[in-house]
This record gives sequence, structure tokens and C-alpha cells, in this order.
Amino acid sequence: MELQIVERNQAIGLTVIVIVVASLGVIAVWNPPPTPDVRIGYLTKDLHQLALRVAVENGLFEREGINVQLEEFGNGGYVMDGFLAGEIDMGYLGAAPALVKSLNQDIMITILAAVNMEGSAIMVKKSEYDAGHVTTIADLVGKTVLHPGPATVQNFLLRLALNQSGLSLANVTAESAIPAAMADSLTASTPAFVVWEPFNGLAEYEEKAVPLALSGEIWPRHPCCVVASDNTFMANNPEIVQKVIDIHAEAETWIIANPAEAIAIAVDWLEMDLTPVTTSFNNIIFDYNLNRTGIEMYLDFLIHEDFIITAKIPSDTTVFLDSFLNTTFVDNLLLCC
Amino acid sequence: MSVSELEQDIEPRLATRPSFNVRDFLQLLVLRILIPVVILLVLWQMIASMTGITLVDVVNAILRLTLEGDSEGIYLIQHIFASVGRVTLGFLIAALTAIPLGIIIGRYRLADSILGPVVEAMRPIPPIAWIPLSLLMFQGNVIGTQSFIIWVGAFFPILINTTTGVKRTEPVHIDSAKTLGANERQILGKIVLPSAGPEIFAGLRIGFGIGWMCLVAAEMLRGRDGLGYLIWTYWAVGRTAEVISGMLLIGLIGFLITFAFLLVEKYLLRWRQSVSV
Repeated sequence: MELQIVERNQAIGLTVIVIVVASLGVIAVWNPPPTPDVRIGYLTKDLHQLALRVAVENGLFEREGINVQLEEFGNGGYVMDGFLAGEIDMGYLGAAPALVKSLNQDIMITILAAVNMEGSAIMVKKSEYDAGHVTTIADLVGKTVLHPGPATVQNFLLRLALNQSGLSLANVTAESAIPAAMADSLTASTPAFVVWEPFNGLAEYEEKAVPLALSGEIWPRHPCCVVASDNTFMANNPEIVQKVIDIHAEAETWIIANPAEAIAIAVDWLEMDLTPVTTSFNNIIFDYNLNRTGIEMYLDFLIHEDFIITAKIPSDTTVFLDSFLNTTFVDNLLLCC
Repeated sequence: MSVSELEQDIEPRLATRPSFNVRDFLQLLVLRILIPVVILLVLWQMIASMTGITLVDVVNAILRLTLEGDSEGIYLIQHIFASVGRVTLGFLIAALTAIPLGIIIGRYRLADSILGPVVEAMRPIPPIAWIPLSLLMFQGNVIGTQSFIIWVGAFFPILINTTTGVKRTEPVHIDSAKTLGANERQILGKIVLPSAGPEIFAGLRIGFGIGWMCLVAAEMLRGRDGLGYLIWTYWAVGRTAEVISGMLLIGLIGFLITFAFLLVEKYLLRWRQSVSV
């Protein structure tokens, strides 16, 4: 008798589960999520890409009637892998991974606008600076300097800074490191690092490091993050691409016009205190106009340092950049407004 | 028994020693070497072609890294030595900490009841999850950080196997030793350790393997050399042939080290065969 009751209860339980699961399935099939107009990749909590966050927070995509699917990535290399895998249509990423990976892996993308310029710095351990051990770039000779990777803009900035002091990369030991761990890795023998914001502002705020040279002092208005589009998507959806670029430009302009509100959005997004965010914000130039000369200079560096597979080096870098950088959408923006 | 009698006894046995058999040798060559190599080549060609390159590109990348070095002028052999050195250091620390602790936990019930739950609570945490904390714990000490990640990977397999091996020691052997007046040191040295030897060796082999697997994560943290560094750096610039080169070398070196472990294990624990016979 008891056994029968248990079996009956089990049968009822199973029936309920089947009904619930089947109902959920039917609901899912009848109410599929709306297909996005555009899938945009961006970097996790990267202050350089504040424009995208501002566009989302200010409802610019909704206002323009664009259904956007945002995909978050750990770094620019992953954004490029996202393009390669067909996961995203457009992306916010560094000019460095965009250039090097599109060439080496034949990833068909085009850079359409800048996101920011400058916004990096060579930082030195505060105690070493205060003690007078490292107060100039020349004081780095024989010491280890941390950087985010050999083919990054920051590595190039370090080389430039050393060259400007009559030195070369051979005079220091350059070691790759994770940006978030750089400030905590400083010692007397490893007194400096070069990285992008907000890591510099945070290190300064926490009194771990002080700026030795801002990237704007090393290479004024150097290129950094950019907006890129998949070539096929751009060819098939020029009106959506134009709208995204319009929104991007509007967000950039808004940031410049409303720095306090923009910083408030950044504080909320980065989950950091106001002071380091403000310091970092003030080291970044928010500008959607591409610095073609800077990108050309950086491409020459990549080729010279053997980062581009020999067979894939463009025979004419000017012709390559003519197609790789497309300012038509930004130009349309200027024409229309 | 005289010497001549001994010789007469040995000679027939020598005569029955298995002679070199060409057929067996060829069978061994085909089954153990040729077919696995072909399967590996086909497998890697498939993987490479999925990423848009060929094995020829990979071979070229290996040659370039060997002869010309990377963009920093560091040669492939230097990357290999750097990685092997890091893993060896992390592994040795793991062996030196896990084996004594495993013996203590396996042999003494009080230690088992206190430390057993601690080990079981720590063991499921993957080595990679320790990365953020290790960066804070070993601030500025890159060797310490990398060794720690490898240590976490290698420590628990060695510890668990040692504990299991010690616990499996036949109580009758320990009781017999005690009856014959053996002290604790003698019991550990003459009964427990030899009995747990196979498990300890299996733990060392597995521990080294997992430590080797943690290499890429450890070398991602910081540095300018090593096979893991090579993989991450070349991934960042989209040079897939170099990435696959690094992966292949990690696999090959891991295989060779595991093979060396097996040979050492076979030699040191040769008594196992005589016991089983």
C-alpha cells in the first residue's frame, strides 16, 4: 500500500516536471529573443572605451532604434578572435591587436573611427621615486620594466621614451605582465611599468607608483583604441554602421562636454573611487578622428620588429592603410551635422 | 654445489634466453611508434588546418624560433630550459612537501582526522583560480608566483597518492615488524615507504603532469621567456604556427618526462615484479 503511494507521488512529480519543462520550451520557441541589428564587442572595464558605456547609459542606441547585443572581451586579441569566429559585427579594441591580427590571420575588418588617444604612462615605484633612485627614464638602465606585451602600443611607447633619452630597449629588461598585477609587482630591481589607464591612476591613488612619463609627453596624440567593423557586415549594413558611428561620435562629444557626468558613469562602471578615475580620465583624449600618421608609424614598428608574418606584410603600406582605415562614416557625420 | 655444476645449471637457461626477433621488432616499431606518430601528425594537421595553417608552417615556425629566436632574440632552446626549470622547481617543492605530509596523514589517525578535511576542502580549487591571490602573496617575486601555481597543481596528486599508499600498507606486516621489535622509524623506512612506493611514484608522475599543464597559466603572469609565454605572446599577434609550435613542444616534453619517470619507477621498484612472481 505504502509502496503504491510512493510510486503515485513519484509519477505525479515526474508529470509536473515534464509539464514545466515542456511549457518553458514552448515559451522559448514562441518568444525567441529579438535578433540584434548589430553585435558589438568591447573590453571589460576599460576606461578608454567609456564612449560605448556612455552610449548605453544615455540610451542612444534605443533612441536610434538599434537593437544592440554587447559582447564583453578580456583584451583586444579576444575581440579579434570574436571577429574571426563571427561572434561580433563591430568592435571597440586597441589599434595594435586590430592591425597585427588582421594582417597575420587574414581577419577582414576595417577601422572606422578612433575611440581615444593617449591614456597610457610609464609609472615608477613611488618609494624608488621618492628616494631619488628613479626620477628619469635614463635611471631605468639595467632595471626591469613591465609592459603588457611585445606587440602593444605600450611597448612601442617604452621604446620611444628610451630612444628620446638616448637609450634603447636593450638597456632595460622588458618583461610582459598582467596589467592589473603590475603595480603590486614593483621592486627596487623592477621599478617601472608601462600600461594604459585606469591602472596608472589607480596605482597613483594607492601610492604604489607615480608617473615618470605620460604617453602624451612621449608621443603626443598617439593612437590607442578604435572602432572597427567586419567588412562583410559593413558592406551589407552601411546604414547600421553609420548609426553606430553617429552614436559613437555623439557619446565622445558628450564626454568632452560633460566630464563630471562622464566620470560619474565611469566610477559606476569601473567600480573604483572617484579620485583615480578622475586622474585617469584626465590623461585620456576622447576623440573619434583617426590619427592615420600614428597608425602608419605603428605599422612600420610591427613590420620592423618582425611581428607580421613575412608573406603577409603589405607590399605598399599606404595602399593597405587606404583600405584598412575608412573615414567615410566619420566624414558623413561631419557633412550631415 | 661446485662451480662447474653451477655453469651446467646456468647454460641451459642462457640458451633459452629470447633471441632478437625481427618480426617482433617490426611489430613494435609499427604499433608503438609509426602508427601513433601518423595519428598525431594527422590530428595536428587537422587542428592546424582548422586555424588556417599547415604543419609546414609549424615546422617553419619551429625552425625560425630555433635558429633566429623570437622578436626579443630569445631562442627556442632558452624558452624550453626556462619552462623545464620552472616546472622542476615547483614540482620539487611539491614533492618535498606532499610526500612527508602524505605519510603523516596516512600513518597517524589523529593527523588524518585533523588534516584530511582541510586537504579535501582545498583540493578542488583549480590551480588557475589561485593566480590572483598568488600575485598578491608573492608581490614582485615572479619565480615565487610561477612556482606556486605549479606547486598547487602538483601538490595534491602527490599528497593523495602518498596518503592512499601509506594507508594500504598491510597491517599484518606492521604487526610482524612490531613483534620483532621494530621501532616507528624502522617501520616507516622498511615497511610503510616500500609498500607505498608504487602509489607515491604514480602520484609523482601525475603531479608532474599537472604541474606541466599549469605552465602556460604560470608563464602568462609575467616574464619574457618560456613555452607558455611563447604561446600567449604569439597568440596576441595572431601567429598561430608559433602557438602550435609551443603547444607541440609542451606535449612532446611532457611525454618524454613521463616516459623518464616510468623508467625510473621501473628501475627503483623492480622488486615489485619479483614480489608478484
